Amino acid sequence: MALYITLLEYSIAMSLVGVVAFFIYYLYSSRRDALAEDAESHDYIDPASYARDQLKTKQRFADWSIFLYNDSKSIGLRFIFTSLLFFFIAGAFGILLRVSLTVPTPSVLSPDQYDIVLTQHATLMLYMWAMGITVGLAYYLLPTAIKVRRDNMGSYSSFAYWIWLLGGIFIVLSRTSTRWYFYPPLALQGTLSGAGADNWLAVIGLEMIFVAIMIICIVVIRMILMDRSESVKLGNMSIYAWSVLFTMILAVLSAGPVMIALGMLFYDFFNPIFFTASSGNVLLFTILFWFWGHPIVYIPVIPFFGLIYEMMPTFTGNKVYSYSSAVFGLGLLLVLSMLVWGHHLMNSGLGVAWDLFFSTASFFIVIPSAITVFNYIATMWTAPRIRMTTPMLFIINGIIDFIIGGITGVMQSNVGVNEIVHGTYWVTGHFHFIFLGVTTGIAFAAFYVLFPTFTRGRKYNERLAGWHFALTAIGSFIMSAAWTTGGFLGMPRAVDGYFPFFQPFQDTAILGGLIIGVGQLIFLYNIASSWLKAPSTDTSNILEPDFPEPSGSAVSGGR
Amino acid sequence: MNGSKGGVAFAVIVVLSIAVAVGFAISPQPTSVLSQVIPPNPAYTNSTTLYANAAGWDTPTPYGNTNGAIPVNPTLNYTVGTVVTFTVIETDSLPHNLYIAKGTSENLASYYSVIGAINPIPGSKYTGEWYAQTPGVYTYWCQVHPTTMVGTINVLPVNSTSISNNMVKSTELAPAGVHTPAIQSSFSHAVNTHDGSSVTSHNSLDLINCQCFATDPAIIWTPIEQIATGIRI
Repeated sequence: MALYITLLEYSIAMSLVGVVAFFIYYLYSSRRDALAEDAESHDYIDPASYARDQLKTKQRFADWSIFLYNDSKSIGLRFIFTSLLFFFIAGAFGILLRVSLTVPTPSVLSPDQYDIVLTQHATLMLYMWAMGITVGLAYYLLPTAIKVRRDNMGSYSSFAYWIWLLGGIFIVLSRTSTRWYFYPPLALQGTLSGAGADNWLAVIGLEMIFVAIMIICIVVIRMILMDRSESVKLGNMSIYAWSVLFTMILAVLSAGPVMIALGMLFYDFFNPIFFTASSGNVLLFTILFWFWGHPIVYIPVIPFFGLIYEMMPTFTGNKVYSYSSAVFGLGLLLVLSMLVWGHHLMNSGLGVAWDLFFSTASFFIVIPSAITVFNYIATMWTAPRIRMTTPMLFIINGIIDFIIGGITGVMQSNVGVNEIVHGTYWVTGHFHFIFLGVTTGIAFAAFYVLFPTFTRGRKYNERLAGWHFALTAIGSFIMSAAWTTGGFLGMPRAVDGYFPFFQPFQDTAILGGLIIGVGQLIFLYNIASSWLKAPSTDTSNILEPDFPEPSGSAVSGGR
Repeated sequence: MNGSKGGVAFAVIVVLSIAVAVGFAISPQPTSVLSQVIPPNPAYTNSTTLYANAAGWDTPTPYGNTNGAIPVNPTLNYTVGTVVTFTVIETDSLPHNLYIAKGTSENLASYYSVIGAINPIPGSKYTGEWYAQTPGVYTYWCQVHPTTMVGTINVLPVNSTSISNNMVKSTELAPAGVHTPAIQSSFSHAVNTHDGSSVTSHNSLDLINCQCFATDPAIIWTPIEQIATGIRI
């Protein structure tokens, strides 16, 4: 009987969701018709192009209507704000993880709860925050950067947004505890408190996210390669557009194997024949996974390198030192990042020959990274004067963090060193140096740059933004440095406890984590309080220069 | 309104979402699968082998594996306090599992998942442990074939005279303490392979976690080598 009552509850809940969804669809549909009429009355053939132009001139910015329009800027705003929401959720999970490690034996969270929270933190941060903000900024900035002639793939992008969001919700609902890599023997098993009983839901959610990513990649690649304005040649396209192009190509090339692997894993939940331990196919899953798993850590980084190139000239007052080497470096990152996935499996028995290959390929990553970093340094070096605004501070911090994170990364790609540091907090520290410094930090910088535009001309509070920067930078450095140091001494990661020997490192990391948390609360307060003030500046920003192209030159979209 | 509440709305959404997500993630998950603590030194132990066939559960002795011919779905008798190690051998290339519930019918509201799912390759072997804790009538069945593969288990009091030898070679009267500690045996069931097939007994893993919960948290950290090598308990 209890089963039927539960079913009834689910049915009622799903009906309510359906009613709400239908209402949203009604709003969306009526808005679309109104927009089409309006566009026609303004001699536009393509409503999305009309919406894009209106967005520029009429200053209709981040509000609820972004969920009803399908032009690229609205889609971008959806992704930006949704991913920011998931950043706060996953960040809360991260703080919870730190707090639960105050004493060596698990006390705040039970082991199962720790595993759930750890998996949620990792999966949401990667797929919902890092991927989301990458895609969101690409959608938001590219139409301006490459002056798109045509913006008529909005329905596909909108579909991608919704299934991406639904996939993220599925991952939260699944309460999976398999880490973000879903290794089969663990993913196929449940635990007593139910962590893992709904792993299949997480696999479905992840598969939906992948479908969304594929759609987005194809739309964006098409936008860059085919819908560019004639006046924007590939040779002088903005570096950000290049970096997004490389990123999307990378995602398309590498996502296929893991989509297949997840499909097979889903089958295994009901009929385990693919990834059984006895046949050794568990290693097959890890290979299929890491073929994507390494590119995924480059996909949210390369566009932010491009964003640094876009933003830095404004604050330094000169041009990027070398355009061609910048594009070359980012392109080389694309090629090399496809060849190094095996360094995640150096202790899994791939064989010494393969280990050496992947180790060598990983060392080659230094070349494009160094090209990029020296390009930044040269740009700042030759600057007449550097304005230390909050975005520029984030950029400089990102470069420093990238240097540290890069060096720790190269060290662990040595086969011998990897033997020692794999599975320790060293890896976590390396990863968080780069992801907190480059991905998250540069995303914050871009958000601050775009804030007046999002809010119809309101200025963010400089002082609070400075505090946000300081706490984020200092906290992330303390946390990642403590992890890296403790990890080199053998502190195992992804476990809910530690030896008392590692107490100082964990305490330092907790301190850093709490500092980061306070910084993000200031960030949230800054958004809310600054938005309440009256508009005090114009809505233009450095990332969206004016659109001087006459609309008449558009091929199919414009008048 | 000029959209000035956008930031506040966003902050409220963020705070609410954090509360819901964190509260949901760390709340205990309702489950109808019962869990058991296998005693380390059970009074009795027993090994029961069942052949999984869609026509019915089959036993190896005295008739051998008859692939669903007589006798199917044997009635199993155990003394209370017995830890039964079920071995299920696949015969017909179809997926099977082994659930046990108290009562005379298949009760999905509360049951023990002794063997969660098996690899449908004929000959593959799976083991799972079940503790006959209280006397009474139990039902064992395969949830994939609930109409054909269903049988009865009688758990009898210690001094019951009505224990009849069923087809299973029983070791009911073995002295206490000869059995290896259950946590070790169930762990080995979960990771070892038998006859080249993987053992994916969900119940065995449940039992490990169950042990972890039922005891002092400090006890989790006694096998220090496992932590040092990063193995999750």
